[in-house]
Amino acid sequence: MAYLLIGRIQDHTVLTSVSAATITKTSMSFRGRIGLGGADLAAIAAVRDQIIGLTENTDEPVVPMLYSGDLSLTSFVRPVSASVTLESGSIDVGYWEWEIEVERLPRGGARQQSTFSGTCLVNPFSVVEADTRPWHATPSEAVGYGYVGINATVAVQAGTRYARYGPGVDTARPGGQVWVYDPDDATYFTGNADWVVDPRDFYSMAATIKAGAALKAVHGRLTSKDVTSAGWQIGNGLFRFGPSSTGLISLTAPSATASVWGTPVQLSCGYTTGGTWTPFTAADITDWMVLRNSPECCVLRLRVSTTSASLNNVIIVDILVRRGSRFAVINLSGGLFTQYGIGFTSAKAMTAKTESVHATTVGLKETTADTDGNKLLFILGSVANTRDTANGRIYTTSNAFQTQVMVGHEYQGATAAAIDDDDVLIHQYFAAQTETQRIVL
Amino acid sequence: MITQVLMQPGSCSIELKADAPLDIRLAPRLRDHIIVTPGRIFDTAITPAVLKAAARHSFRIDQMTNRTEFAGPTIAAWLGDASSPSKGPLLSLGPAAYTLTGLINAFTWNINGLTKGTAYSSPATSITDTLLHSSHTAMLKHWLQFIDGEYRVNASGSLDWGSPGGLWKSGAAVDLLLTRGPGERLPSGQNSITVDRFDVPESGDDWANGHWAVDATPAFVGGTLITEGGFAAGTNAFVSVWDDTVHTAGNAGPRTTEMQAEYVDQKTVSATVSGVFDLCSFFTAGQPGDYVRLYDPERGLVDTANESVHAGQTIHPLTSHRVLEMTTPVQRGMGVYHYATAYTQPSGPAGTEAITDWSDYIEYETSSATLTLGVRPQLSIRKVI
Repeated sequence: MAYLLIGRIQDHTVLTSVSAATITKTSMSFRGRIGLGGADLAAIAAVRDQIIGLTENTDEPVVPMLYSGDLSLTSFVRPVSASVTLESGSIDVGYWEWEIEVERLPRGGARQQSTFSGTCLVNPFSVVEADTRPWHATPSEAVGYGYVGINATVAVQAGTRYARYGPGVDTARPGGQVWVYDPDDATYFTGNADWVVDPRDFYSMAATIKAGAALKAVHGRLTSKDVTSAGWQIGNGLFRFGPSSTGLISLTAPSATASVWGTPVQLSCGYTTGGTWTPFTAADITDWMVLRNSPECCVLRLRVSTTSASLNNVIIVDILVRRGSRFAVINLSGGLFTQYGIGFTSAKAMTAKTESVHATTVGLKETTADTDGNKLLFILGSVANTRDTANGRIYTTSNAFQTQVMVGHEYQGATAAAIDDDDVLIHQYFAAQTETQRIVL
Repeated sequence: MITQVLMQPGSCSIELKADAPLDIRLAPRLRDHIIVTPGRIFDTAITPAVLKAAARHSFRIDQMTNRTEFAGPTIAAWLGDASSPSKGPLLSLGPAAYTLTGLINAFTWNINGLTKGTAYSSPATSITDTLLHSSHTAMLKHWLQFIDGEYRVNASGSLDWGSPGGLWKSGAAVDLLLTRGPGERLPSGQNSITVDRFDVPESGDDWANGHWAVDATPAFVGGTLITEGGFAAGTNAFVSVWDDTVHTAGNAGPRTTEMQAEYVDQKTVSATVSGVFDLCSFFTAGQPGDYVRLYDPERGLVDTANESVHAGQTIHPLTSHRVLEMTTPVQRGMGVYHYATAYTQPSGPAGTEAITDWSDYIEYETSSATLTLGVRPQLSIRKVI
């Protein structure tokens, strides 16, 4: 039977049994039935949220769509309405009716336009714009990349396109590779980058948030929350974060063979007072929510409850992942005015990492590579930091309500490719630009 | 609907339900006050002092329609204007040197129930001039042509004054962010409000941006000559002469400096906010004047010099703008009281203050709030020929 792939619903077994497809010049509407089997109510709820997340979506007002009954309709569309009808008895046997209506875009719309905002991160290490490495990543299936600066004084912007590799097991289509565009100097992306990608490859190596025990990709910001140990994941195909079995979050990077995921590394976020480190565990997570869910960037917020005997015992952990990045930016904030930080859950020796231009210590790097050949990096580059090299922990030197850390890895530490080198990652972190990707007609 | 404008009287209105009791509807007199509080005060013996302390908005009834709609300016209007002089003696001063604080101390208080409040970092600059005005508003605005100061009539009826940085939230104290992203109140104290839409109209001239020079020796006393720069020596492409309300020649320079600052490219921004109860609670004294952070890259509301974090992302908001005007609905949950003040009652034994709780009879509003933001307030008394 025919199936529909739309938005982050890229599993052809979900929107199957399309019973009606009505096509007009300006719109398309589809009706069908979801069949998932009777047992998995959590998976059913996740799919329901994916469908209703299609409309009124500020992150993705336009999405790709493919209808197997007529592949010539594969295009980008604007969802107009999406609904799921629950009838008594239907949940018990695991099926229900869905209906989706979309507005067709003229000429199908295939050009993407990325715009950027931001500048060098404010820091006490004398790192300035000229030291940093702004960058931009697109799916490897994207073609026709062109960067046009605003009021450009040079005819052609110089730069190199690098490849970064991940295990490729998270994408619907074979891949596991992303292009990273780098101006090869400190030119910030002030203009627009235009590129073209087939609708079927739109989510290739995209920043993705997954929810539920079955880890279905979330579409939009509304999702049923599962705070159990297997309830969430945020990643981009090059690495991913999920709940930790012993700490708060775990970071999984590709293994040495680059075709499978490696062993999760258990990490703890926490704070230090008077030299005593207080970490949180995954059991302290009371809630999580999606702050941004677009293919170029996702942000997940965890609310963590502490045992502090005060009127302020909540910590907010925001995890930001960009497409094509080897690191996440984690913001820790809360009611406690203290020294927030991050570290290994089980002590692991790390070495102080200095920034290559000014020789200032900005973070920590794993002394020896882990079993997958990767070396973890913690960078606390916005304020003065204190490092516990024996335990593998970094935190702010002074009290604050909010702290930002970079957590990443030097992929294949000993033989890292040029674009994956730790000094490059540090300079990419300091080039704090945010990207907004839009479909341009 | 409550419309408040920085250093202007604003305009407010409330509507009673058609079936409100007749005695409620027939009691108000023109020039009585309506007071809106953020929450209902359940006290049958509420005193004016308690009500004024709890007030979020106070306005004066200048129009009544069908005895169900009551509208008028905020009580700042008691300071008078061209069409409605202040009650009290004619005000004349000078020539003598007065700072802003000295000027306000020279008024005869109280002014129709308004009392003198607090000075907040009032500028030390003193100006010497001669004045004869029929309203306190005109007197204040005449002085504020020369001094970078502001004033605020609180809903409680007290007048505060000072520098913009002292009177309102500015500099390091600014934390409120207006953005089209998700709003939040973080435990670390940073607040943000979701804006439904930003509108950024751009018009007018950019002429004051380093393009003009002040001629400090005008050809006539009291006037100020401004000539356009950048042309060959001896040529004046355009001459603008300000209205002569300055009686002391030495004040022309300070006034022109203030006026030039007023015309710098402002990029006023209008923001529409819905779904927030008592939006005014985010601002000092519930009134427009605070500096805020604005962020919407698609509307050009960015400034790479300011780094903040919001919703897990590093942003660069604009910090140069203040709230200049604010229109907010009167929402269910607020208290509304009719306050028959002593100085609007007929004199004699019958003239006493009275407070009536109207909260159960109000047609509450559900519309969005609108904020108008800009770099600097415009003072209406300034005229250009």
